[in-house]
Amino acid sequence: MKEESTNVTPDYPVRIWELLLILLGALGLVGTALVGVATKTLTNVLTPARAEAIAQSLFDYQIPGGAKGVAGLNFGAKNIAIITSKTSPPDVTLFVSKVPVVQSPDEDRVNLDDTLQEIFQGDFIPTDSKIENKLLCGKTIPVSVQNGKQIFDEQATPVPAIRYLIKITDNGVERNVSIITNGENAQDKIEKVFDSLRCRFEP
Amino acid sequence: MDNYLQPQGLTEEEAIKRRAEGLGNNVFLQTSRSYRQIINENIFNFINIVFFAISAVMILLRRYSDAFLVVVIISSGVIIAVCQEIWAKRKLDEIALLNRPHTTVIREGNKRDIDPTEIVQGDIIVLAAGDQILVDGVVVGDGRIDVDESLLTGESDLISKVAQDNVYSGTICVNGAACFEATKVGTETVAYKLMTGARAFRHVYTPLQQEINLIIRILLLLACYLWILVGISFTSRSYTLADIVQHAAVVAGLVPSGLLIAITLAYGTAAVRMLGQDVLIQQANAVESLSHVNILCLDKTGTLTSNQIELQKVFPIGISENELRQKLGDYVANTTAPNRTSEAIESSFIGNKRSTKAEIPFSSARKWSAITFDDEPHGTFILGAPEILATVAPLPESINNYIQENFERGLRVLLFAYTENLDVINEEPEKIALPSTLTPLGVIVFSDKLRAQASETLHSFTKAGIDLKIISGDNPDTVAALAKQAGLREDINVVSGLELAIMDDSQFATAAKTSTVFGRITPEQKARLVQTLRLQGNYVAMIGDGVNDVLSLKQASLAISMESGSKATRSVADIILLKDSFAALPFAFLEGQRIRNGIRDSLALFIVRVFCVALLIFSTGMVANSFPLLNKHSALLAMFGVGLPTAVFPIWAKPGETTKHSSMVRSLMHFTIPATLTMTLVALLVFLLYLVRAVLDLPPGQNINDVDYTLPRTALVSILVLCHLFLLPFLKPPTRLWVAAEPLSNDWRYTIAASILFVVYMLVLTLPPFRRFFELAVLSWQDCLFLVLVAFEWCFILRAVWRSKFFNRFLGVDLS
Repeated sequence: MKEESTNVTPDYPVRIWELLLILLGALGLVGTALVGVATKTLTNVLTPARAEAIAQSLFDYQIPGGAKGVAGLNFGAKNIAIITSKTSPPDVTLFVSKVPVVQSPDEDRVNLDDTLQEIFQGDFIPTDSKIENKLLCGKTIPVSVQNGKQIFDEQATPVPAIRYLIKITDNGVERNVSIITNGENAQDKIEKVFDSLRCRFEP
Repeated sequence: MDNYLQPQGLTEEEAIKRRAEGLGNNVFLQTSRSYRQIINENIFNFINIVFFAISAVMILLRRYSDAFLVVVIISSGVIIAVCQEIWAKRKLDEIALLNRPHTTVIREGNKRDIDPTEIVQGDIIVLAAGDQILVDGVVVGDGRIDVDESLLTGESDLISKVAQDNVYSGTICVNGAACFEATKVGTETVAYKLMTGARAFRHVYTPLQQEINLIIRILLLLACYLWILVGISFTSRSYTLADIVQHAAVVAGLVPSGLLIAITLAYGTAAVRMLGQDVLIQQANAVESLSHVNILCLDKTGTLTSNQIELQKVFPIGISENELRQKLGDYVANTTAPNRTSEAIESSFIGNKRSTKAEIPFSSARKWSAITFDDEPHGTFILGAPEILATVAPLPESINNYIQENFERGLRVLLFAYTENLDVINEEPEKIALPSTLTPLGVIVFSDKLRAQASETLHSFTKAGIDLKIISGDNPDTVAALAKQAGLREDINVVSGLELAIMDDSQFATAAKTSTVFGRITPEQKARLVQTLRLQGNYVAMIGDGVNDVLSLKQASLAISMESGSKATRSVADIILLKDSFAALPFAFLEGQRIRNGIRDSLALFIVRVFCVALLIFSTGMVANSFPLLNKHSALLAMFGVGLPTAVFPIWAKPGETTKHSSMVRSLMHFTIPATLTMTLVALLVFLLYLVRAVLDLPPGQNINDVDYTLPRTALVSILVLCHLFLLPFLKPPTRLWVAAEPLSNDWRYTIAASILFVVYMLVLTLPPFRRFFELAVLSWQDCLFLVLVAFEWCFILRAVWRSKFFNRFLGVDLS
């Protein structure tokens, strides 16, 4: 009765270099995955049509001289989009976002919004600010009206600008709108953009 | 000696007429599982019914492809199994039909051997020691038989039967000879269900079967628990009914019902394979059962020896040799219960028909037989074991020495004795006793040759770590001498039945454990020895041939009989060695090991898959608030990861002991725990990565509840299939590179099979019709490469975990 296989599994030690290779391999794969996700995210964020589609999923809007999408993020329940006018540098910048209140503590939300706005809208330095009640989507809501300067990059000269900040919280969802206009007729342009806003939800 | 054959029996015309009147013994002789059993057990088991119910709901939900998948893909394994089992059954039935016992009837005054189904009511049936009684009837004529009715009544005492006494089907004629008239045949018999043989009463599950049954039941409980959760989720979550049915189907896939199919298939193929070795399998699990055996009990005569008993010499005491020859010749010529010993004497000495007053047939329990002649020279003659007769027939020292010398040469010795008293024999079984004094007439010496290859066969069992116990009714010294001739070591412990009889339970158990040769053992002692060895936790096989072995065969974990053995012995046996092929047993043992190893390999993959999917169900529920797989994905994983590989395991498996644990699941823990946990973690990370991608790709205006899970699920099922395929070379390492949890096999077939399955899976993933059918997303070549690299990385991690014995250290136990 020949025993055709041995029942002994030999002990092979695991060498340090082997562990290092495994670690390197794992890091390589995780890195690849993260790079892939980051690339995907950036590609999605920087796709103009996608940014416009995201913005339009939140509000209908009109930008004088035409609009182009700059950045859009649709990650789960979080939607952020930045739209500008077609001029260079843009004289109208529209930021819209929708975030669930419970899932997004104020600090995080402000930081993310501010960061994205800073990147894509330029730095806005307010000089004065007031609250005005305005009609949006059939309801009167408080709007923070700010006058100040908009800086597109460090070398460029700051230009006078106006900003409207609107926050609508409803049913656990917070919607933010930020409109910045600069140059001549900045006030007219910002009013036109604000008046063109149509909610894609029941406020 | 044919004085009990007085009846003339029926004529052939009467037999034909009675059969036409429906009085024939038309009972189906079941030699293996019936078609109905095969279909019922393979198709209509609980888990398949669940699958069929799910497919019915899917049809109602118009998910026809899902229903098709359940019915065709999952059932195809069942259909293949049913077809193979029916094929094996037909083969076995064919051979069993050729080998099943015939019965002897008297028709028109002549004895005829006929098939049991040809018996008709009113037939006169001849019974001899060792015959199984197949129909109910009444004893007729002068014969006397002792019947074992334990299969009907549970009482082990023999019941004496003479004219007008009833005999019942399913019982066994142990001693004597007689005729009986069949009064009830076919389904009218008291125990017609026993017609298929006493083995119908023996249904011993092997440890492997018990363990697999336990695993399946535990997983069934787990599935029930998950079904309840799935049911609750229908009310608490936004799942549709279609989702719920999908989830229920995935949970149903956790129950490894395929394991039972794998076992049945392995048993069937093994049984057919064994036919080529002249081994007839009567109990499906017998071959696998043999591989568990750690104690093998053998009868000497007819098992270890060829049962071709030859009279060597006679040694007269106080009479001439011629006188002794004449008396012995008369004795055997007038016995109504001939056996091998009397036949050996009859072939040498011619005797005369005489007038017998009484007769006590030979019994293994008494160890002697007797006949009283009332014609001249009258007297009572007794033939039996010297140790038994010597108590009433004192022998001179020289004769005792002569007997002992022959015992030690492995020869069989009987003493022939005499008393003038005609009334010393009482034929009532409970009153049978030796006369108070006897005059010894002579010593008769027989030889019985060892079977060819007995020595090699015993040696191979010893080498495989199986303890041998030779249990015989013969003198212990004779048995010991033959055992040594057969190659057993010189220092074997010998114990006799007479010594065992005065031992208490504790001493008996010790003797059973420590002794190798047991001589002068009664059938009851033989059965008790086997029972004691089993109670000590041993898995005991018993090989026997005579009717005196039936009791012990019934007690054994595995009963093996010689083809030349009595009909009763063959009927209780799980394995019959055709052509008395004792040497085929080691092959059967290796075949049993092969089955176990094949099942073990299958079980390893089943455990990893089932627990990996179960853990993923919980993990994705907690981490991503979702369900990981669709029914089709689960089927795909079951097919590529487990189903197809395990289909070839029983065929490719090799013999050899691979586990040191009695529990197979325990022996696999060192393999399955690291594999399951690491695979689950890797699969979960891959799922989450692709889920993030799916979320990033969400169309504007849609939220996370609208995520399309096709991509993450495709990635998940792909990584699971890849990891399962990579498990194959770890399970059967072709080179040192893959040796971590299992020993080197040098067998490339498993790795090649994994590679082929890998290519086939990639085709399924690439070809649109298959991809659409299985609801898989398109994976780019970069994604495929990434998943393959992840699977490779997992292989190296797993190998390091196995080789470093990480879980052994962490858990503080040796899992290997």
